[in-house]
Amino acid sequence: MIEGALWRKWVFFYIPLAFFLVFLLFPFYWMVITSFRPDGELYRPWNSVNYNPFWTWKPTLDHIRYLFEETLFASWLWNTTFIALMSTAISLVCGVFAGYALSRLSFPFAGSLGTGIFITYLVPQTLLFIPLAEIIRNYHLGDTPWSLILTYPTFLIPFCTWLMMGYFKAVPKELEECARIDGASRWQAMIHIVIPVAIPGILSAGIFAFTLSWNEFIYALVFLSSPGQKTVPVGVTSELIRGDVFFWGPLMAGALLGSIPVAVAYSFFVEHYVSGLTGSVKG
Amino acid sequence: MSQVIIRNANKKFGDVHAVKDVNLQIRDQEFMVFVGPSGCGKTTTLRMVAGLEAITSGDILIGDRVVNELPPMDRDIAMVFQNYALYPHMSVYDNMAFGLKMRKFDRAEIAARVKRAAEILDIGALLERKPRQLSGGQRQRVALGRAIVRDPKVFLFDEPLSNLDAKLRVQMRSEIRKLHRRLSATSVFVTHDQVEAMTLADRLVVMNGGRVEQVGTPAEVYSRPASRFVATFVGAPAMNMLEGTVTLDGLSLLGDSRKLNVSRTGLAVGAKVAVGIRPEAVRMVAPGTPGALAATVDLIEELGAGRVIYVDLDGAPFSIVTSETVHPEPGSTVGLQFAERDLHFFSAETGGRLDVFKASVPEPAL
Repeated sequence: MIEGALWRKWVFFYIPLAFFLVFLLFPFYWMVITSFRPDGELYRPWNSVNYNPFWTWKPTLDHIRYLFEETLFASWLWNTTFIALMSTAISLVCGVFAGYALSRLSFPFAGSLGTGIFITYLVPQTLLFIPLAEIIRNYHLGDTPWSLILTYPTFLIPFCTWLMMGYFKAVPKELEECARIDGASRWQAMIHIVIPVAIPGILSAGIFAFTLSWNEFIYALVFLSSPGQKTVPVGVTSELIRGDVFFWGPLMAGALLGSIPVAVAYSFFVEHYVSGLTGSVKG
Repeated sequence: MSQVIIRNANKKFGDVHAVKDVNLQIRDQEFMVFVGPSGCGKTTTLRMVAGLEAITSGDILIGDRVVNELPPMDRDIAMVFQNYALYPHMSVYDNMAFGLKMRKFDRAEIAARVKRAAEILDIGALLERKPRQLSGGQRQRVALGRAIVRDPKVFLFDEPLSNLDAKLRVQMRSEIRKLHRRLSATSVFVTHDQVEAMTLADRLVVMNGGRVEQVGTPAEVYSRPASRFVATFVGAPAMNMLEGTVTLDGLSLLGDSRKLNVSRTGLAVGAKVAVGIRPEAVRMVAPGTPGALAATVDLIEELGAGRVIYVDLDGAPFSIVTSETVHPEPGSTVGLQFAERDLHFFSAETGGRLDVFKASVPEPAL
């Protein structure tokens, strides 16, 4: 019986798990290995004698050096960080207050307003960038970080609001009532009690918003044009693919360096983030 | 003086009339308990006193002041919630100090008050802990502590014991009683548990369907229930009820299958009534005893000190509480006897009490 169980465990658990792991992690592995392979190996034809696509014996930092010396990668990184942080901050502030209001205050049309905000999140960016481009031009914001800082909230605020609404609904109403009996105004009860209790939810909303704006592509492609203003996703793809020539080494190195901050943000907050997703508030 | 007066209070949630014309006077230093089944409006009434629900019509006075429009923070009340509502991100000390900080007490005064409350409740060692590190009973104490540090005019308790296990509940019950004796503050306590209500209350308010059914001391409510609802709600096991008609020489019960001789009912012959008898007022006698009702034994619940015997009167359930060492066999026939003064009469239509033996019913002695 126990042997049978072991056999089952391998077939139904470990082997599928291994398959999934390989499937999910292989692209990442490919990115890492390509970033450190010398060009000689990268462009070697598949039928040559020493063709070995999965490993290298001569790792090199040339591609990373190339990124920082021959391209504006450092400014792209800075631009992306600045834009992502600013738009996340704006969206979080608006989303937290809007989410609180929609979940706790009873005012006419609160329900339909909540649904309306969710629907704006469903409008595809590929449609929205056309009117937004017009607005950006009219306000002379084109080719500045502000063109993105002010447009990213169009999809980040609905997202944060919706997430925070759900989270605030999970915070027991009695906490706030008790605070109000204790002598706090509604505003004080929110600042001292409800928001601190909702910190895990705010963190998860923040991480999601940060990731969304870090990886955003289409607005950045449309609203920014000079190389020094670009963000990492746009900079890497527009400056390292020239015509039909792909500079695979620097491309992958750029992708690797670009994904590190997001990975760090995730792992740093992962504990809060998970409890935020599962929405656990214990009284 | 901090009495609470509720005058013609009504509460409507849309089409639902949750509280109907409630009139109450809670005296200074009194421990008043609202009791009733869920949905009877007791919690809503409490929340109206707290200011957490607006009053649809009527007045609520705390002290001598109408507080209808006053926000909760200005009513000088403290409330203990069913789920304790401790602030999870604050230590026990900060939980207790929060209300004082909001009211701008100075640090030394806050520290002194928290320390004193912690001593009263025996939670001095827990002040640095977070609520999630406490047991249910400890959380309950912190919630009480948070209420008493403020020294409010009125304490409001919203089913604070129902999340505790049975043993702890009994213990906290007596502690709340002692605490009230020590602080002698006006208190309103909401519960659905009639034992809790009887043991804690100076006076009880029995509510049903948004209305007040009876107000009185536990002894009054027990011995002279004002309605059929109160009679069956207060006391465990519940009061036995038999439907019947008044006849010339007494009562005809259960569709004429049983006769009961009652010397004088004072009721019109032919009137439909419900007769109530407390299980503890029933005596079991040999079957066939003159004047006794015949019944079949269904089930016996042993309680150690006594036993509850469930019998069947032609389908009508009936229970007897006895401390005598009798163990009738299930299925056997027994006779039931009771004194006339232990009978309670209620109108079959309205459920209201019919006071036929007013003169002979002794004033409550409990």
